[in-house]
Amino acid sequence: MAKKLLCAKVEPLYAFTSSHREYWIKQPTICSLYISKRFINDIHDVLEVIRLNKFTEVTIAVDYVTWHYSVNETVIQKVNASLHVEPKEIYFTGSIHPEKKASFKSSVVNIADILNTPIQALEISGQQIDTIEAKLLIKEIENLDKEYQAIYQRRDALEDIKITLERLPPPPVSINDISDQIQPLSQHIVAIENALEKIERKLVTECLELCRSVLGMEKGDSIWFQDHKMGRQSLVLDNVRFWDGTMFLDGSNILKNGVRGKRKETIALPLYNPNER
Amino acid sequence: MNVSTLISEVSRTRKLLQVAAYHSTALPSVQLSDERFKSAKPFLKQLFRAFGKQGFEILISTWGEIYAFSVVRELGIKIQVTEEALGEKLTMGNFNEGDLEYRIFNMNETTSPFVLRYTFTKSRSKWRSISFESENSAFVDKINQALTEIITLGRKFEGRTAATSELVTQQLTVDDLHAFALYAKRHVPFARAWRRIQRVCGQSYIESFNIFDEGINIETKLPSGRHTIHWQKADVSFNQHFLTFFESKQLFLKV
Repeated sequence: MAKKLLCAKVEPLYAFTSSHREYWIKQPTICSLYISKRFINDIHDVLEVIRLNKFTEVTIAVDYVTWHYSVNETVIQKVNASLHVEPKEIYFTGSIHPEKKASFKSSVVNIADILNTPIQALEISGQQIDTIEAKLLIKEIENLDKEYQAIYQRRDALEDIKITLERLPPPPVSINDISDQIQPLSQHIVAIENALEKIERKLVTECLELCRSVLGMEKGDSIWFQDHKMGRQSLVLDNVRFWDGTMFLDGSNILKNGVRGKRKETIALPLYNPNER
Repeated sequence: MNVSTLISEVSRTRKLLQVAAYHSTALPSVQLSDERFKSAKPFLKQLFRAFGKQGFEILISTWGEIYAFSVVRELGIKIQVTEEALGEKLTMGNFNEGDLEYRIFNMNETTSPFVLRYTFTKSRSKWRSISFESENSAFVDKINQALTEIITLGRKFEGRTAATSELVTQQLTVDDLHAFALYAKRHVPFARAWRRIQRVCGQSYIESFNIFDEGINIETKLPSGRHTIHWQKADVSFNQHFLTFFESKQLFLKV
């Protein structure tokens, strides 16, 4: 019978403070385990507990994980390992025996990949944004975007002034020098850029709110969308962006047999037309 | 050479396994987890018996490194008993560390075998490996077969390797001291003297040191200096637990 071996990257949670003379102290970089019945039963049990009590994360101690310093070297010391289960993802943490607090953590693994269930995709379409509730949210996003564009144009104009000031030839002795104006100007530009970043973050949270309340999806969900030009697009949602009246949904693609692929794909969902009159 | 005393010596050295994770040079020879080690005991017994028949003497260091010496052949062999490494298991593709976050491999079902690795001491010979598929007593013939293979290969190295037992010392070296200091700093609360020793080890090279009942004297170079550190309560219990493996054991029984 064929077995399946799950390998995941491991990274230290905090670096053990040591000097350059203690270069030989090693940290595990890979963890591996067989996908056994016991492991799958553990996940199912914990998922049941999470569903009943509405927990966000549940941790149990496990002993079937092997940790490796490298591909050729295994950790022989006893490791206190634990399995962390979230509604859609799992990861492992561990520490070498006398220590109980976790000191290294594996990368996050999608549960759908382990249980090998074909992904049920959620359909999104342009008609869902036509409701009154959605239009209120979009109006808010539109206002934020207008503010963003106004500040952006002001920043561009100030940048031009700064460049022309820098290019000025040095003045003769009889006239006052204005090159000391450059520094306060550049400080002003930095302040504007910080404000721009704040608005950008606000835009992303607003877009996520729109995704949650209107389209009914969250990060980690799989979705599909019928585009006029690109045809049918499907992906597992990782990230949301907003630019120029369009919401971009990023994520890795879903293969024909229903398994998550390696390539990244993007769905462009137009919320409104900024050039409309 | 009594085989059962050798086995008990190996299992005694496994108490230092946690500290060996912080040692710069020592690598315990039995690279197996505690459960696996119990099932490996009959295998080790047969292995030691086979070496004894060929006129080898088995020496085990304090950190659990196993050497086989033959005075007649002038040959020294370092042995390791391990499991299959991850790189050997993954025949279909490799797990690149920088590339992917995680990956699921399809494997054929295999019985997890022991792998015997060996090298000839002080000769720069590479590590070679022989794998044993079953865990039953059926591997007696295979061990003898493997040993003849090792000895025929070792004819090239006869006379060139260190045939004396100089590699196995019972005394506490500077590297050992550094490993204990790192372990105590991380895992033993209130071991203040060991913390100070770790700070000294991390900041300068140690020329010599001398342990006595109340404390330790350290002489360093680059920068040169002398340190006298006195044991505290937690340090003494730590010493009684770990340093009794070394020759200075009489010191700590009194305290």
